[in-house]
Amino acid sequence: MEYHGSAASEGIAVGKAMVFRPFIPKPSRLKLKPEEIELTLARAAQVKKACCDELQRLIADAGFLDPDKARIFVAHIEILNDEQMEEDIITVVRSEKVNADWAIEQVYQKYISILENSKSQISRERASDFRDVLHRLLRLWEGVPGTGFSRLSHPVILIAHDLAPSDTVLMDHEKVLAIVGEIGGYTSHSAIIARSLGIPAVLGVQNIMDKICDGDEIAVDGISGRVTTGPFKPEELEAFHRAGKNYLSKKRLQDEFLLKEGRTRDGTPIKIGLNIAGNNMAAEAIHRDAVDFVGLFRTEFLDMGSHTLPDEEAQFKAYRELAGSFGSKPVTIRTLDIGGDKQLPCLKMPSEENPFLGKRALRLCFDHIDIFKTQLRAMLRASAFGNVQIMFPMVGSMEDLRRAKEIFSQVKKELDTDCLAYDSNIKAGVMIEIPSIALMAPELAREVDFASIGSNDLCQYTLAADRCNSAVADYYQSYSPALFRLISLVSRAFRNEGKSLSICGELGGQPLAAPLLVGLGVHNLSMSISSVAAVKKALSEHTLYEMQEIAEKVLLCSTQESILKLLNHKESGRERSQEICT
Amino acid sequence: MYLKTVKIINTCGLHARPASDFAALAKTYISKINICRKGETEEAVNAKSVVMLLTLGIEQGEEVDIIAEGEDEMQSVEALTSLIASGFDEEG
Repeated sequence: MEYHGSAASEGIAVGKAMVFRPFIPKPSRLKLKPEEIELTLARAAQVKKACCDELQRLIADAGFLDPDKARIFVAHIEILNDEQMEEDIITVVRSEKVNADWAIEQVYQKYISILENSKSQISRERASDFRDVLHRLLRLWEGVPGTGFSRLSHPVILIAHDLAPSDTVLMDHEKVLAIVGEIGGYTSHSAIIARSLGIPAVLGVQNIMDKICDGDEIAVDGISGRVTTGPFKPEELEAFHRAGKNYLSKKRLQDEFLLKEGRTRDGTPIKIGLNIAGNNMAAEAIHRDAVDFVGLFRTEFLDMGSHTLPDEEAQFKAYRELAGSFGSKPVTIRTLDIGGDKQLPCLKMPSEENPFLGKRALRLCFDHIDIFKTQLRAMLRASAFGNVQIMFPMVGSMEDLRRAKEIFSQVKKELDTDCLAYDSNIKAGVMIEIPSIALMAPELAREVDFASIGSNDLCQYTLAADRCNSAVADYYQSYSPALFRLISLVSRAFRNEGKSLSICGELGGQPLAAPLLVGLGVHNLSMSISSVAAVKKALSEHTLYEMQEIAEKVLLCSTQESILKLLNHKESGRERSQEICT
Repeated sequence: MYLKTVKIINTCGLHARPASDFAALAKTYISKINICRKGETEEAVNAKSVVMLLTLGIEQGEEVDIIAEGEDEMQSVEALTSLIASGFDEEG
């Protein structure tokens, strides 16, 4: 069986389940005689003191491991000593003449339910701390010692309704392979702790405790949020182990290289860029720190789902947010690139015999000047809030470029008239994806501020092989010698003009191709975040001279096969020499 | 009695650590200190109680009244409002 929850901590683990049912007494309401009231309050004070002592010990233990964990217990002491709750508890005991443990539960539950219904996610998650303190108080009221996972005899996967922070904090992470919880999510304490320990966790798996017994064999996939129950066939086990290993090696790579600067082995800086689409605008901070620029922001994804194109204001807000979040780092926004394989529900386009060679991208924008101008206005206005640069796709001739630039200047003038601010030094460039413009690179480089090679389209147009047609997949050679000769030509032209050249196609994100591209003179590589660490690693393994040497050899190759052989040989040769060193 | 209104500028509002810091500072004063959303005096809660601050659930951009009564009422309100105005060093 497979159960789903939220992926709270990445990783994959297989092991035996341990179903955790902590001791949580349920106080009953007792009517007290007047003389018993002071006794129950005194008892409450004692229990509170014992609770505080226990928390202090946990702070000492946890602080020894990691001061961050100790903070959780500091927050618990704060709750325990809260003036208002203390007052509420005493009031309930005195006015209702009841036992203090019952009063404690009433008061805590009152605040827990307020917090659980709070609008703020942070407050809702805090409810688990209150519950943790309450359970500790009730357990100590009964004089029962705490349970922990610090001394488990064998490795287990913990299955629990909810793991309280105090349950997890001193957990022996050698023995706990993964955590599965019935409630909670990515921001729960259990999730935070699981991530800090590097163990997988899937939370919010409803009623999982009823479905799994102690000792059951289960697999936990904290990447996709799945819990699978066994018994497993050997090949299934093998698959889980392989997936776990893959994850770990990828994670090690990420940890080591993601935030490093892009550099060749001899220290030449290579700028690493990020390709992003409109539907995942909120780039995580770690993504921003991992790259030097945004090489491609695909605006068409802003629109794909909706039935109307976003208006100037909506686009402006989206671009401004994006540009603002990257600070001074250049953010390259590409104008609408629809047609070909990308259609918009809101823009009726006549069906074409051959859409990739039809009215797509810039060509379509020339037909819909209003849409084009709206987008340019929004981009220009956003340039007042960050380092925006504009990129035109599907430029096939110098006429295309001049026409686009003409419209661009018109829009600037219109903004001047409207007194709207923009960056007057904003850079405008093109995508190089049609062979005809690649061949015109010397002229092109004179009239643009920068260019970016769209290797996917450049490949399909150079080799006349539709990249969406699986029947011609073998003809779509992304390591074709013709492609590298075109790139070399473009690179030389841009270097001569001193203009910036990048690559934002898939090729730039391939560890095999990246050193070659740098050797060909492309020192700006833009890719999706998942490729960044691997490319940085590949670059760090060769000197610039080695990369140039291999580029020279590639330019002499006559087939894709010989290029791949050369690149792969270099890879395996390097690995061999590393083995000898170690 | 001393009252002052201040706007919450830090992103997570009066939750988590900012709430703790606020209550901890409030506790260093003798005066009785209450806090509420601007103008909602009858909803005011004990500013020395983290629990009450959390249940109040003040978000970024909201304005709050801080009201103190006692011998150090002025100092306490001034200190608490400047803590809020500092944004709790959230980025640090």
